[in-house]
Amino acid sequence: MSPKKRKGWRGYAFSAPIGGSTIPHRVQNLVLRTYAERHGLLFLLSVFEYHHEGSTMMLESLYETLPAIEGIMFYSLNMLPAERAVRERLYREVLGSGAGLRFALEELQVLEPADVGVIEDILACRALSAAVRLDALEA
Amino acid sequence: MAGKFIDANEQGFIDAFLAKGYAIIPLDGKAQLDAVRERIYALGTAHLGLKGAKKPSLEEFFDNTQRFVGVEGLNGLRLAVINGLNADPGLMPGFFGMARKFIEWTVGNEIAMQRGINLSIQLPGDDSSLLPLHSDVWDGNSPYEVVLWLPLVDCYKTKSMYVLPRPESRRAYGEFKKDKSFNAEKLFQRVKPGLVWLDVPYGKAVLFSHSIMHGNRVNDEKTTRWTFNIRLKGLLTPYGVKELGESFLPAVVRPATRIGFEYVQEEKA
Repeated sequence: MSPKKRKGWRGYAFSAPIGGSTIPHRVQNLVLRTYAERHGLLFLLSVFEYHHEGSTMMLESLYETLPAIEGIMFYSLNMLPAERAVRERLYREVLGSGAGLRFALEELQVLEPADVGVIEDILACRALSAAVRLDALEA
Repeated sequence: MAGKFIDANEQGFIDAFLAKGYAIIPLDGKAQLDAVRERIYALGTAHLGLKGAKKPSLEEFFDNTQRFVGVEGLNGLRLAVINGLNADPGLMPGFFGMARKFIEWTVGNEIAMQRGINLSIQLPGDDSSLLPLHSDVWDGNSPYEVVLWLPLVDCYKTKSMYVLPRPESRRAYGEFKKDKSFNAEKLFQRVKPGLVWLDVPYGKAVLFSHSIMHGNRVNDEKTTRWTFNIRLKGLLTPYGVKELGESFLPAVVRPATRIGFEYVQEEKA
C-alpha cells in the first residue's frame, strides 16, 4: 500500500496581539493566502489560536493532523511559543512527522533540522536587542 | 581604562567616519565582484533578448544600458536581475566578505545583514527613479544601520550619489524639524552648498550611516549608473521598521552570545 499523499499547508493565525499589535484575522489570512500563492502552496483554512496569553492549545491540536498535511503555516514568527521547551516540542512533532513550518510575514521556513538554528538565532537576538528599544531612548 | 585597544589605522577610520558619517572604501576580492558583474550581464542580456549580433559587450551593456531598454522596461530588467542573483546563496556572504574589515570597524563584529539585494539602475536623463534628499531614519529605519552602496560602474558627478556630511546633516535636520514649510526640494536648495558628490570608481564602495542626509539627482552624465545597496547593523542594536527575521537576518553571531542567552533561558525555565 502506498503512503497517503500529504495535502496542503494549514494556516495558523492569532486572535491575541502579535508582537504587541492586534492584527485583524482578515489581514492575517490575506498575508497567508498571498504567501501560499506566491510559493505555489495549497493553503488550508486557518485555525485561530485561543486568545488567552501564551495559549498553544490550537497549535497542539494540529499535531495529530501532521501526517496528513505538508505542514503548518504561521502568519508570523512572533507567534511561536515563548517557552523554548514548547518550541522544541513543536519542531520535534513537525519534523518528526515529515512536515514543515512556514512563516508567511517573514518568508522563513523550517523544513529540516538545520533550519531550526536560524529561527532560534533570530528569536534570541530579537529578545536581546529588544532590551534597548528605539523609542525608550527618546528624550 | 588606560592603553590603546584600537590600532592607529582603525582609529583613523573610526574618527573619520564619526566626523563625516560616511567613508569610501576599497573592496576585497575584485574577481568576485567581476563575477557578479558577468552574472548580471548574462541575466540582463537574456532578459532583454540580446543575443547573436545584437549582444553588446559587457562594457557596452553596463555603460549604455539606455540603448537596450527604456524607462518602461527598467523595472522588469531590475527584477529579472535581482531574482537571478538572489537565487545564489553565496551572493550576500560574498558582498559581506568584500567589505568585512570596514563593516566590522563601523558596526562591530556581531552583524545583521539585509536579506535580499537592492539594485538601482539609473539611465542618463531618467527622472523616474530619483531619491530626493532624505535620511532613512525619517521613515522609521533604525539609526544604528549603515548602508553599503556598491557601484558596478564608475560613479562620479550626477551619475553618483550625494551626501550631506554629518555635522551639516545634524544642523540642517534641527532646522528642518522646526520649520514645517520645508519640503524635499526646499531643503535640497538650502543644503546644496554643503553636499558632497561622491566619486566612487568600480572596485570601491561607500559605507554610510543612513542617518545623514543623502540622495541622487537626474543622471546628467552620458552613461548608466548601476549600484547595489545593502543594509547592515550591529546584531543586537535596536531595530526600526525593518525587523530581524523580516528584513534582516543574523550574519554573524558569536558563541558567547549564544551561550549567554541559552544560560539565561535555562535559568528562567
